[in-house]
Amino acid sequence: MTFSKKARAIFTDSHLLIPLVAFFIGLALLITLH
Amino acid sequence: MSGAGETNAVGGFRQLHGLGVACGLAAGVWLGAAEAPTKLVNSGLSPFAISLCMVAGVFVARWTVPTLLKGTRYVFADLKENKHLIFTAILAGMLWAVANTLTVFAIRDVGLTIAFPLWNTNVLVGIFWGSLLFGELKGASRKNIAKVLLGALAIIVAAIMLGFSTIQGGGAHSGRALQGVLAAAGASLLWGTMYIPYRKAYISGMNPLSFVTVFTIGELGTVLALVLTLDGGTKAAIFHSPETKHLLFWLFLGGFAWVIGDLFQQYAAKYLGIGRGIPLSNTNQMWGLAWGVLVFGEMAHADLAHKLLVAGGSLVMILGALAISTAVATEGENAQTKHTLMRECNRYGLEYDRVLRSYSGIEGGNRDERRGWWDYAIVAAAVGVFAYLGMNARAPELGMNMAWLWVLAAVLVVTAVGCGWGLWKATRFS
Repeated sequence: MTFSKKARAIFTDSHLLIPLVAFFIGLALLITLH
Repeated sequence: MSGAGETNAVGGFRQLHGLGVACGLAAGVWLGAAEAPTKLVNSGLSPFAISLCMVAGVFVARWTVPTLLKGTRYVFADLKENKHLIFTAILAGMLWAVANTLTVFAIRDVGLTIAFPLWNTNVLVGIFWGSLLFGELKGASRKNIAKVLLGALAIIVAAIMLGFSTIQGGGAHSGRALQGVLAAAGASLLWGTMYIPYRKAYISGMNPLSFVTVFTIGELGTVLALVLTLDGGTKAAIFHSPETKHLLFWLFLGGFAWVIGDLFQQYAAKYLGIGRGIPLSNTNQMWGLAWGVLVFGEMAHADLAHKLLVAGGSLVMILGALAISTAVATEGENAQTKHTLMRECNRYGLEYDRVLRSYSGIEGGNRDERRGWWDYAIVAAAVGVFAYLGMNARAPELGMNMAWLWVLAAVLVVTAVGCGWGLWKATRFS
């Protein structure tokens, strides 16, 4: 598998994107509440 | 144990339900015990600082245990084979750290009574993601779906009952109810979502020991960043207080127990899936309470209503765990799991046979498990750190029931040895 194909597979993977979005929601919440 | 687990070995797929259940329950025992050493810390340090010290202990143990069990050559070979999952594992550690800090805010703003039930719904978040993203419970019999869902609900209800039993009086509120509820809901979302990377790693054939080695970097880095940005920066008391070195041992010890518990939780997530694994490891609430009540005498003056809550909560939790433990995946669900593995292999160009073997706990390939001198150096350094901190440790004058302490310590040893032996025999810690 080529590097670009693998990179695309990683960065369009919901298994990574959903936790990433959750992390930023949590971080935003933390900064707001602090 | 291994015999009970190997109920289905068709087409290279080996189901390890019994072993997964044992790991989930052992995770509960060890994660609950992790709270015990922190009860000896009465320092006035901020929750951020206590969290940082504990995670530092976790960091030391997280590099040591995999080194002891498989050696760093094995761990790095596994990471090299699963490079695309390294960031995912770091992200999981980051999620844990932010969620843990959110719980501090939730307790501050609405009290444990409201916050605890809210963040315990992470079980339901995990079941949702497990079903949506990994096809868990798809193809399962109605009976099994009912067992998992009702079992998870029973464990949440029981955790709430046990949480209430420890609260005397209403608990102080700061008048920031909405903020507190949001913080607790955020912790639930993050702790439930954190299991996506767990499961992702295992359906790709990654070893749990490699996963936790990387996970801890995200965890320590984020906690450190939070202390530096939200807790006073380099002027934070944790970096300057002379008291710190006297209490570090207890927090490191708590971190060590937490690592063992989390490792069992990882194996439960691998061999049971997150829908079944999370509720079982959430039984830690019962064991944490057992340490508090039996060893530290925390309910010595509790009234009958509180004692009934403990008895009822424990019973409901045991019934919930029993329901989930007996929900063995049927052929329909296993077929869905194989489909999920295949999808992952197609997406990332992984070798299906290798992934299937690894997922089934069958050690494949010829990975080098010989220990290098650095493996011994890592273990010696970790032991040295614990010994140094132990020599400087100071414990407050606390009345402890030593008989119960030995009983619960024996339970810890028996579960670790029993599950460790089962994992070694059936999977070689794969």
